[in-house]
Amino acid sequence: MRGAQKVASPLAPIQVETDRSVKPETAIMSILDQLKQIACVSEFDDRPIDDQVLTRIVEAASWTPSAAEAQPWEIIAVRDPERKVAMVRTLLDSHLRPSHGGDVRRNWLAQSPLILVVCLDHTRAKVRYGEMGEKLFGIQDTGAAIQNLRLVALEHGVKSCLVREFDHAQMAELLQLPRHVEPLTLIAFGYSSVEARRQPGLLLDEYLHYETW
Amino acid sequence: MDVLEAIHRRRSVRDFLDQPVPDSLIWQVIEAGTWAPSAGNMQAWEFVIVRDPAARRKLVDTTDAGITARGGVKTQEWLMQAPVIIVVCYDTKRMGARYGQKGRELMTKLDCMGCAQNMMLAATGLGLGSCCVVGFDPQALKKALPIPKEITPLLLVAIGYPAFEPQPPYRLPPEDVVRLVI
Repeated sequence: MRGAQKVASPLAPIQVETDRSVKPETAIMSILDQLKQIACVSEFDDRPIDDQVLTRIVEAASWTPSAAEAQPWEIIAVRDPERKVAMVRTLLDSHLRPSHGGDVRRNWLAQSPLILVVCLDHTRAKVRYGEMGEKLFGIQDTGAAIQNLRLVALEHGVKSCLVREFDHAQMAELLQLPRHVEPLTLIAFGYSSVEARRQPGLLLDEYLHYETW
Repeated sequence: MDVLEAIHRRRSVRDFLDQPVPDSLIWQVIEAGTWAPSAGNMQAWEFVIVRDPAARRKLVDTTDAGITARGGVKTQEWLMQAPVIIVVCYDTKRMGARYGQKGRELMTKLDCMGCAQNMMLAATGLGLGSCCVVGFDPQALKKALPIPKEITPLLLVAIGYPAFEPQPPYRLPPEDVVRLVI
């Protein structure tokens, strides 16, 4: 862990680059440590996220592996307070039922400084592989991109929370998406002093199988 | 009609009968277009089908007759007679995702030209006449019709029943255009 201390902290300013002298093994540890900090935080400070940080976060998507290089993600950055309120109205409850005017427990979403709506371009996802591209690879690629966005955000001290329970059609209409682009996930971003707390319930032994099931 | 016959019989038809083209034929033509070769199979083409006379008027107003313009008529007015105009558009994103700048600038357009040729050959085989038009202002067309912002018009393919079958023009024989055999 000695080397890990040399790695830029999550709160490091944007100019700080990762220390390339750190040995790879240590760097891997550090990524795992960072992953452990990615848990949904939904109490954000008022501090806005400036364009420079926003574009750094979004650029993380470009470096996500994607089947056939389709890069099927599209990202809508929402900062307008009224639009955020309208987005809350499309949220479903925890059993995916309409929440009739919005889930009040999710009002925090409207308060978050930035929401990135990660969408799937169905045409781009399926152009090479048809149904497999659209239903499987595209979703995998987009999911990986989401994690990359959150990791780079954390590097800039920006915490995040995923929201997936919303009415897709209402959201698409609200964001004026073309018919082939579907909103998949909202990621709320903001600065926060709240420590992410998440303890995986499933143990490694329970899901890791060697060689065969 | 076999493929060589369709290739030889395809003419640029600019005079159409006042006779509608059934939807099923239009979809067959489009479907033939989608089987054109495509760089990386990224299928850069997207289509806008124009049939409504008012929309066609707006479209024709963005055309340019170029050196064939006569008097005050600078647009390709013959298009007003065509019952269907398929606007072949390209989406740079798919090709750009795979091939970067060369994909956006070149491959998308090559895809669309192959697509247009397939459509015109299919139209010939279905007894329809067609003509490919590049003399128009794509940006003006995007403003004139509600074409989604992410696609850009490249070619117009006018389709209808031909009023007559034009005589074939002269074509250079292969021996005149093959410059090198190694």
